[in-house]
Amino acid sequence: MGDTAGHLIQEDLDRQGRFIRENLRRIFGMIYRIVGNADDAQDLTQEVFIKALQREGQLRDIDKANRWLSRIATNAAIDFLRRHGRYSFAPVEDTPEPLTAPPTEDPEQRLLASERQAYLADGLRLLTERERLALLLRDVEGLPAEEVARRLGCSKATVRSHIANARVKFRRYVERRKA
Amino acid sequence: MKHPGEEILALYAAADLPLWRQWTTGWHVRRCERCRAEVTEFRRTRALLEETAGQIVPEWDWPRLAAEMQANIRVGLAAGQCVEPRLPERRSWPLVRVAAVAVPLVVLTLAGFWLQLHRLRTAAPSWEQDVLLEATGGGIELRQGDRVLILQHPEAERVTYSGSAQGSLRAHWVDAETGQVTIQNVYAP
Repeated sequence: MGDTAGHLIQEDLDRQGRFIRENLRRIFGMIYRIVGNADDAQDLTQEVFIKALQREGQLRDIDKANRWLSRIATNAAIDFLRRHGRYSFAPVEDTPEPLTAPPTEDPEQRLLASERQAYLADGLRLLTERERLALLLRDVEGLPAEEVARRLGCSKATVRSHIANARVKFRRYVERRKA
Repeated sequence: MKHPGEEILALYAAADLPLWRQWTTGWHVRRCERCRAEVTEFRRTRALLEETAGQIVPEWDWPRLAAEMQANIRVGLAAGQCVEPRLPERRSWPLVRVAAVAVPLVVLTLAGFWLQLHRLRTAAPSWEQDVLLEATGGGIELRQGDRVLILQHPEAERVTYSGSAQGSLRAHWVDAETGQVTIQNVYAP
């Protein structure tokens, strides 16, 4: 009896562990892109997973679970921005406690990635918060405009306007950088 | 030829325009090299954004970040299990709530009504049920309804009767031959 209970608990833990491993990077990235810094993204990601795993009944269907998790993540990130009214894009390595790199790290690759992050951060800073959120949810997360409108709590027409403005501004930025 | 605005082309590039507008813009773009080039440029920028944003978490930072987050999630879940959530209060139907108040009220009213009625009935005078005590020629009679108890005395004797306010009757006589005095006291219950 005790063995069976222990076995079931272990199975639950394994399932939870698998669920976290399979989705952690995607969810962290999604939140990080919205809130713009690693510390807040880390806290929010943890909250999102705890919330999700406390309602495991919702996670039985994998496709639905993924969509549900994404929705909680973006909502948590958007709520966070509304509460704190800030967006301070900081590359992951600029966190107060620097993350140590493994010995196999390629310095050239690291530099390249840092440049990309800085490049993206500069471009996103040119947008208003609404434009940035609309652009990220539509073009990076791949949500349809209707869903973006729902999550941002505005009309489809308004979201289209935000997306259009954001794309035009970002394109100009890319062109300027190329020049 | 009137060209669509930059914002329209930006939306057209990812099929974000309403259906009719998407179709008319597409019709123009297919025939206009300049607009086609614009659309291609928007699509390229979009792909670049998607690619760059996708690489936002560098590989070398990830293992430590992931391990830290996984550990914190486990701690959070364990802490959540320690604090058992309160069971949500069961919602009862409004009808049941009304009935819970109304039924005892009705029972109480009916009981009160019945008791009142019973009290009135028992208090009502009923001559048939009362005990009647009277002196007759034959003796003292105790009568209740149709039942009668008679305490007789010799008819030859002179009998003196006396009654009290407490509901008793007394018969008193002296035997002429023996001189014996007899006294009968009857109390009404």
